[in-house]
Amino acid sequence: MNTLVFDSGPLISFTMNNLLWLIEPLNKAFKGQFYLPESVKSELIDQPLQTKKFKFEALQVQELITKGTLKVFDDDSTKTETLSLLNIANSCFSARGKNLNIVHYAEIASLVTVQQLNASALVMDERITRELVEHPLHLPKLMAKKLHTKISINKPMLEEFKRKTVNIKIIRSTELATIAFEKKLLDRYTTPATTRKTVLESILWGLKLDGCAINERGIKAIIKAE
Amino acid sequence: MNETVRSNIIKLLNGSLDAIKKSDSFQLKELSNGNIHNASIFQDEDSLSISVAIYALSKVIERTQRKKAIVSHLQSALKALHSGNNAKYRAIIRSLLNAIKVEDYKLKRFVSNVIEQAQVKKGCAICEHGISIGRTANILGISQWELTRYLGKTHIAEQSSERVPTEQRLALARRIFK
Repeated sequence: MNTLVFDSGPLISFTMNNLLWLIEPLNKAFKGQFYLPESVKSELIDQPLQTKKFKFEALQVQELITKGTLKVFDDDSTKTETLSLLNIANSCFSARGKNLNIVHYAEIASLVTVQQLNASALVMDERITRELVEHPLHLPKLMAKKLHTKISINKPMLEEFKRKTVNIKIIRSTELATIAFEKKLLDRYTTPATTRKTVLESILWGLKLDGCAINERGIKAIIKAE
Repeated sequence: MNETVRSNIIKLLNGSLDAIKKSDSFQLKELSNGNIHNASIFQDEDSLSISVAIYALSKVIERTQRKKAIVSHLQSALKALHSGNNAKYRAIIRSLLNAIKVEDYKLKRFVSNVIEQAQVKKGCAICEHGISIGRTANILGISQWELTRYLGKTHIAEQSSERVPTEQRLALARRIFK
């Protein structure tokens, strides 16, 4: 069965832009199952439900789980592998003699879930985890510049991380919204005075401004492609 | 407490006392920003809490009537650090954070308290230094919803690597949904 795994970021940016309803028709178009790891669900829903802020947003995501549109993937079966990969990821770079803890459990659980399910892709807006998978050597350069200190690379650990994540493909909320656009799911927002492209552009900017790590060039590239 | 962290906090406290005497909120903000390097590397409670406290102070210092009490907190914290009493230092910083919250309440900043704002602002800076959103939210004890939304309003995403171009990512999404 086709599967797609979600990290928290895309569901946050969809919710903030009143686009969470898209997940259901996208799921139908996908002809498979959407998953999110249990630890992602905890960050996204369980924690905000303990407070007043973002409680309603959390309830909106919860509704998709209740309906079965999003299925929670039990972390028990991936815990050992997640902890091992987390340890590897957080040992890849060091500064002033200290390993840099750059990623968190749920982000790595998303990667491991993709592997476990042999999923088509991971939907992730978060930039650091994404770069660690796709372009890890960019990170020490970025950190050295920002931290004004030398960043050491633990090459065996980095190679091990690359080996374990080599097949993982990542898309963002912006690509998902573009698919919705191409499937005409966003046509309800067009008016005689608003073109379809204007709708797409406004949505892409909305997602970026609510946390999707896409640069301006990326948005222009999508608009150009449509 | 790590020795590098300790000596940096001592410098930060001395600088902050000087800035408070001059009611220089800009200098306080700069000092807090300067400590983000340590907070990103060591990710320890002490580097994080002092960065948040000094940033929050920069927001209230110009209008507070309780400058003397704040100075007294910082001097006591400095003394505790010099004598190696970490537990006492941490208790003083907790008390300082509470005092700022009370002061902020008096200044009627009801929408969102100054400590929360400072935590999100510092979280954003830590993410900019190469730490993931999940990790940053966890070490600062803030919501990913809050941090993600705030990050989107910054220029940080512009620094993203283009190793996988958007066109390629979109092509992948199209294949998946074919």
